[in-house]
Amino acid sequence: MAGAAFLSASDITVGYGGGTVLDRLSLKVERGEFVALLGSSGCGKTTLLRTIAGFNRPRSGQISLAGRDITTASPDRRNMAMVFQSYALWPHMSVAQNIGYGLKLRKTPREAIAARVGEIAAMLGLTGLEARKPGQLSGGQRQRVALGRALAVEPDVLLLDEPLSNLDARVRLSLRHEIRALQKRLAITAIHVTHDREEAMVMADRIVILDSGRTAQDGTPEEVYNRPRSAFVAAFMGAENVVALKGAADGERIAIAAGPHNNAAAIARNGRALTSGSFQARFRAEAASLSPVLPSAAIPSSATTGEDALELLGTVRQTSYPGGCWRHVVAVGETEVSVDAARPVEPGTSVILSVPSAALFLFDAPQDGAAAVSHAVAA
Amino acid sequence: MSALSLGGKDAASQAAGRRLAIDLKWLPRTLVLGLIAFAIFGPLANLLLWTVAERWYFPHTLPLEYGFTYWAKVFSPRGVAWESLATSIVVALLTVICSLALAIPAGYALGRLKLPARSLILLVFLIPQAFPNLPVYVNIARFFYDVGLNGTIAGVVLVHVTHGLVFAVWIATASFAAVDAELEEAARSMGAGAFRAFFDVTLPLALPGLMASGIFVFLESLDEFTGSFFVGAPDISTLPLLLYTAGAGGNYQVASITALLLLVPSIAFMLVVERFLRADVLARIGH
Repeated sequence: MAGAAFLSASDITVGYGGGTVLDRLSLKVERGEFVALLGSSGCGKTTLLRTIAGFNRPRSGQISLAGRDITTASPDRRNMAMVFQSYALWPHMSVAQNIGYGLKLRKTPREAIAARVGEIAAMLGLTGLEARKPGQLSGGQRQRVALGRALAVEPDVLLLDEPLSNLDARVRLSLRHEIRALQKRLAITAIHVTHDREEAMVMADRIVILDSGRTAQDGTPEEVYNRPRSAFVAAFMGAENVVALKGAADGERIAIAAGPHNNAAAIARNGRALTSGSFQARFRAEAASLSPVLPSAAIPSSATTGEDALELLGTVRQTSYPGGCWRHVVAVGETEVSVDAARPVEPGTSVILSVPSAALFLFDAPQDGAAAVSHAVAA
Repeated sequence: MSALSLGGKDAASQAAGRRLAIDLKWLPRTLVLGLIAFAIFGPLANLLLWTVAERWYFPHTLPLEYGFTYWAKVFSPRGVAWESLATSIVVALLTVICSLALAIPAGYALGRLKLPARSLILLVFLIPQAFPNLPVYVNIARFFYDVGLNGTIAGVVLVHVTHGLVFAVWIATASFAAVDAELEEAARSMGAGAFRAFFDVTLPLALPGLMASGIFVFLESLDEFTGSFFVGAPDISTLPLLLYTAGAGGNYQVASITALLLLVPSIAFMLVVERFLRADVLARIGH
């Protein structure tokens, strides 16, 4: 247990009935850290949170908090506070009673409770609403009360189960920053479950991406965004464009062979784990640059070798303006990719797409094709 | 000019005809409603008349003499009504306490159960209601003789509890199922033990339904006749038993006054229940 993290879950397996939801999953959270559990629905992120909270008992594995084994402790003996997706505010209690409930359980004197409730209400902009019942509040206000209720008891770990998913887009954006600022100011250890990539990126110190009960990648937002370790993570982090390539990994360089729709390229390995053969290339719409070519030049040739950039040849199929930049659907052979550009290119134009090495994610081609990964993300 | 006035007259007569047609269309409905009202309130009116009738016999449509001498007789210090009323209320209250003591844990457990199992168990609770009452009660009475429960308050309460428990468990289950499990989990997460969370969150939220359940059991017990008759009579006399004795003895005034006494709490509680038991709670019974 040397150098054990503040909160650690090691090798926990959780299942309902016959199925397994979490499969020997481990998670470490340092004191004061904000960790986001990111994944599509059914990946086990909420189950993991509920297991940490004590509502699910793992079949095997161990959970410890500040060096204390809490694997079998009941939820009320963990000093964690959970904020539910449904807020779970008690409708028969006023806002003040909801926020002060945890303190009342801890036998805090009445005046101290009132003072703390007032302080929390002021901090969350709920002043003046203390006497209201949850039914008389807006969604954003309810969310703040749920948060205030959890913060009032100064928990060791704050557990947030998709707390923003039921709110309007605008309220959600402002609450994101509010929660993050509050967490930093109060130095709370927090675990945040979400399926919203941007939310996780903006709020968390560290993102743990879960895929069917296992950790797909664990790193800072910058790491998981720019150095996805698997095709799943790349797809989840927005690199939805997929192109199949062939090439050879040799030492520090990766040589991509010229194909029917791509030029040969030499890419620095840069820590990519690849074996020679078929590759799957993934990149984001905004990562590629797009330039029209003369019809005569649109023949793939091994003579031109892209240095630290992959060049793809395609035809623009569709052009639209979603705001900020022009989005093009470009056919590269059988597959279609989307590419953003500052200026529109007419549909039907032959183009060269250039993806710089830093934004190009290369993986060994999966045995059963790329379709399975795309489906997993869409689900 | 004349054509105009002619046309006007024509229109007026047409309008009158239309009004008549509408009136005729309403006639059958009015009749049906009147008959229904008579079917419902006729016996009640008759009952009310009997409670204040001093003398009333066959060829006369209305009582010959009105007065409250029978009320005085029924409620005289040595009259049977007071005793029966007290017995009835004691039995009903004890029945409510016993039923809720069983229905609250049972309803909580069932309310937190997953759907198919819950429906099945609730259905099993209904099965005793499918049997004819009489043979069941005769057998209960025989058994109670053996164990010495016949003719005791405890025996009558026990019979009423078996009868009222079905309602109590059904309504309690629906009330607990209507309380989101996450609300309780939130309390646990804030540091409340299982019992504390139940008493602070789940119970208060299920209380309206539980009160309705208690009222139903109370009314059922107040009205119960067959079981009380076989197990209680003649030692225990509840209001329905008094009503039966009076009615069988041709004493319609006493029977009517007793019936009225039974009617008052029923109506009063029905109004209360109607306020407590909201449709969204009732809808949870099958869910």
